[in-house]
Amino acid sequence: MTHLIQLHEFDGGIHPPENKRQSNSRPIRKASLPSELVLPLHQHIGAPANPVVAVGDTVLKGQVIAEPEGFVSAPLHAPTSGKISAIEARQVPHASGLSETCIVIEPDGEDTWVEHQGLCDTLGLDHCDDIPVDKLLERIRDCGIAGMGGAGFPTAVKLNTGKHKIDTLILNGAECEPYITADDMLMREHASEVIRGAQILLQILGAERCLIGVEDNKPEAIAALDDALVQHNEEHHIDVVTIPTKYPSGGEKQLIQILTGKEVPSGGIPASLGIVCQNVGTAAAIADAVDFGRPLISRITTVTGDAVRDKGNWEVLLGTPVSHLLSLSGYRPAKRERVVMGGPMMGFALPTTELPVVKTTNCLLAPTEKELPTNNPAMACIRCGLCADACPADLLPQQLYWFSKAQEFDKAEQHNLFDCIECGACSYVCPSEIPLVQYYRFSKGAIREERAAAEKAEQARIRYEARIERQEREKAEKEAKRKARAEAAAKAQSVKKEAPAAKASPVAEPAANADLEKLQKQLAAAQAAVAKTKEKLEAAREDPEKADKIPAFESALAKTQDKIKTLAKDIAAAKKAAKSAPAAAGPDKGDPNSPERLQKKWETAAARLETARKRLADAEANGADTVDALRAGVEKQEARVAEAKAAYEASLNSDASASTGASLETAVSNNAGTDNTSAETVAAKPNSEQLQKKLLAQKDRVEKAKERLEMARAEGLDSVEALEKALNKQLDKLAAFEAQASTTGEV
Amino acid sequence: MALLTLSSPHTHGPNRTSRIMLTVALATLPGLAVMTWFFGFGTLINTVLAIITALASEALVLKLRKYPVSFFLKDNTALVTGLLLGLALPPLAPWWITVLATSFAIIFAKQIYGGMGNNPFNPAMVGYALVLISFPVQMTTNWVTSFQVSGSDVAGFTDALSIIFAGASSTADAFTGATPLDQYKHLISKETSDELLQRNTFNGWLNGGWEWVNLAFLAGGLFLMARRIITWHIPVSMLAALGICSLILGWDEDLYTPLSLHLLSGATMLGAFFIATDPVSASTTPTGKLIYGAGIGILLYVIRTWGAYPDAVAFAVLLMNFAAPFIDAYTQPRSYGHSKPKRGLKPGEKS
Repeated sequence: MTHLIQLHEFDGGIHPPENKRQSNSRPIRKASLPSELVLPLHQHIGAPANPVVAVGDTVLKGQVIAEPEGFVSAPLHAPTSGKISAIEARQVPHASGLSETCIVIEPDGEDTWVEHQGLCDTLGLDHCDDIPVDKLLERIRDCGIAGMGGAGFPTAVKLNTGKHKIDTLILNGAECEPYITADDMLMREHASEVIRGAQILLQILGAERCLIGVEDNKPEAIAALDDALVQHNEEHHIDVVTIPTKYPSGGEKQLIQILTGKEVPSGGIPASLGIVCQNVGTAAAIADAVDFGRPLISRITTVTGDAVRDKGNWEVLLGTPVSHLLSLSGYRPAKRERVVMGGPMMGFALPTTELPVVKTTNCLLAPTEKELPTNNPAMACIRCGLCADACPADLLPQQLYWFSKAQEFDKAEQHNLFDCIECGACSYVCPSEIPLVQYYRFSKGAIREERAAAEKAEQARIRYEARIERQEREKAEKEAKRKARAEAAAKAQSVKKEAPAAKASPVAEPAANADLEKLQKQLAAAQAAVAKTKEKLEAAREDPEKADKIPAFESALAKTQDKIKTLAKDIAAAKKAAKSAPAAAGPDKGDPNSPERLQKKWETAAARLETARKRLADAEANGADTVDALRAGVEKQEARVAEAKAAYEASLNSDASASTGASLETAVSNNAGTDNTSAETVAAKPNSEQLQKKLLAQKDRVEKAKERLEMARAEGLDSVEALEKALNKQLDKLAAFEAQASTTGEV
Repeated sequence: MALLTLSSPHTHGPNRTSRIMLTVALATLPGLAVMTWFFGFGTLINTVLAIITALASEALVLKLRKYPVSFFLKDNTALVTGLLLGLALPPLAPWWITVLATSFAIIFAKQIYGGMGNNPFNPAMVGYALVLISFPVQMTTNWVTSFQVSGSDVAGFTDALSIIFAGASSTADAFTGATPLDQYKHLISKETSDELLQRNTFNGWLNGGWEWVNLAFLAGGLFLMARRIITWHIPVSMLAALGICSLILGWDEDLYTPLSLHLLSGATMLGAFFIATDPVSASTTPTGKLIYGAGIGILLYVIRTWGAYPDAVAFAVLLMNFAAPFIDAYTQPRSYGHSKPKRGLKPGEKS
């Protein structure tokens, strides 16, 4: 207002009929409460929010119902008080027509606010001008504010400009799309909030000036903003700049060019030019959040088009069904007509009106066919070049069209396809009525898919190579172990020759007990079946209608009774087996804890250690990759040798007592049958030590299985499932051992 | 209720291909009127004949290709092709020349390449070049010396009809002759410029009536520019290149055709505003259009001065048609947010 701003022009652009008068001639109205509010978790760019309420919960207006998931995300708040009636997949307003998780609120009609207050009060500050920037950003994030101009980028993230020094804040009040007047009406009626939002944004960004760009077809909005500037005494930092009406001047890149003459680098962000651009609606929402603690739960939406009687702007709660808003506006549906969310140039046609209003819904346009005729069949491109004249990004839309049609995506990319902002100006001017933007969307999608596939292939390649490398490494390690074992075996052979080993008798299966239980269960089941069949048989005998079934019942009964007999026999046999089992556990010539065996173990371990050390030395000399692995192997082997040695020495000390135990056991087992409890008790003693060992070994195995699984998971290998199963088995075994150990320990 | 789900944008401007083509056709009317005024009804008859042939050929091929005939005929492109050929051919050319040139233009130069929008060469000029090479006598002698200029008899409607359809050569001899460009080119080695201008073809009028024809086409061209159907690039660069060549290389009017004759005689203005600007076969980028137009201007001068043909719009345009895709690839504009424009078709370059 006080400064003279040098305006620049962007190339191209079009002047479609504005059609704004229909909806900006009356004040904003408050839309009534619908019977349910549907809130998609994904109303912003980034990760969907994470629900923090459950079905059946009662929520208050403004209460957080979903938390942001990750950095680029935004929370969601209850737009009114009520009950969570569902958290389920519903169709969302997105061009894909897909369903996404939504939180559904059934309003209680009370509209009771959750406790909320301005940030200044929350922090208990005396001067509200110097709230710390991080607190401001936190408040903006916590209030779920996302760009309200259409993109829905989380505002707090956009304000986090990192290393870029920002000198200019641009507020976008251009609203260049035909029909839409939501920002126009917001600026007229809430100019003060817009300016207050600008103040907060300037403070956050540390910027020197703010330019509010408004197209010259909104004189009332410009006047209102100018008044608000005076009220806030901000004429020196903030300028309301009137720009010529031309579509798409409200595109972020175009507005920046108009106001500063600078171009946002391709693929870059405005912050790299020291500029941050925000929609005026976002600024007003920020003012609300900071000064009053009100989260983003409603927005201003234009409802217009000739298919609605009562055109105008509504302050509408997020989640309000489109059908509700349309019926408030007197919508007269007709066959084969469109309801567009957004404007006629960039909006998307809704598949159904049962979709909610979301944070980015600035307009609902319900045109009649007469008002906005659908395109005629496209004719051939005559290369007239009108599209190139209209393109605000200085592209060659016609060439992009040919490349897209021929699926020559590399050429399309080379012709800067990804600088296309899909404003639709080229389609608008195309005399052959070719849906050009649709071709570009197709190409962009195909190229993105190609890129994703290429990336996936690259990752698969890296993974594959890593796997091959690992397999080779493992092979080498196995080979090393095998050699060590072979050498040890050779040594053991020579030792054996010197001291011929005693024969070990097989140890009886401890499965007898388990079998017995199983049989007993079967017996019980069979007995129950007999009882039932008998009952049925009785009933059949009494009921003449069922008389024909009697023989069947009788034969079934006979069969079951036979089964019981066999089961009884089996059980007797099993009981016998169980009794003799401990007795069959022969003398401990095969006892792994005998001093001889332990000595052997120690020797073998020492021999292995020797070979491992040799291999390590070789590897170190050759500078092989396996050095680390081998070194780890040597260390382990050293530990094992020490362990084996300790075990041997311990066994020597306890030798006497152990042998007495063993002889006693033999004596008792000779009297098998007379007192098997005592036999079990005695037999358990040496077993417990063995078990402890087994337990340790099993623990080791579990650790290893876990490690392997982690590795597989990290590399995303296919073997993850198999490894998981293996781990579970090992865990089961461990549990079994532990259970066994605890029982033996108790005895 | 099922709603229509269409891709944005949901609105469309007033531009239509058929309307653009119709406007082009309308813009030729002043030229056609002036030609008829100076050279009799021959041009008018030829033009009507060419348009009928063009539409019939187009309909035939569309039918053979199983395309909706009326939908595509309504795009008016065949109409414009026939019209331009009719204007370009000699006013008293025999009917079969017109029919051959037009049907060849539509069937071979346009439809065989895939129809509207897919032809690499300007169809009208392909048809013209065909008959010019095949029938040089008919194509050079059936030009009319303006009766307004020479004071000789007018080629009336019936005369023109009988010459065109019945080949009444005795009648024709009374009216026909070489064009001013042709005469100047062949006689300047023997006569001075002043002597030449006293001949029947010129008879004191600078270009023998052709200057008015060219000015009428210029007016039509300016109208198209005002309606934003063509841009200034191609006509301006073409005329500038022709003018500069003429000033530098042919400044001596006793040796070479003078600038005024180059600019305001023959098919110069028709070529600059209606033929070289055919968007399908021309270059499409702003810089590319300048190069393309200048190329036509230079070739036009070279062929007119040192070539075998007195006029050369058809050859100059066709030769540059070859170059148009190449020119386009190397004249991409600098896109928003890029530091420099991209060149060629090599993928993966950064700018």
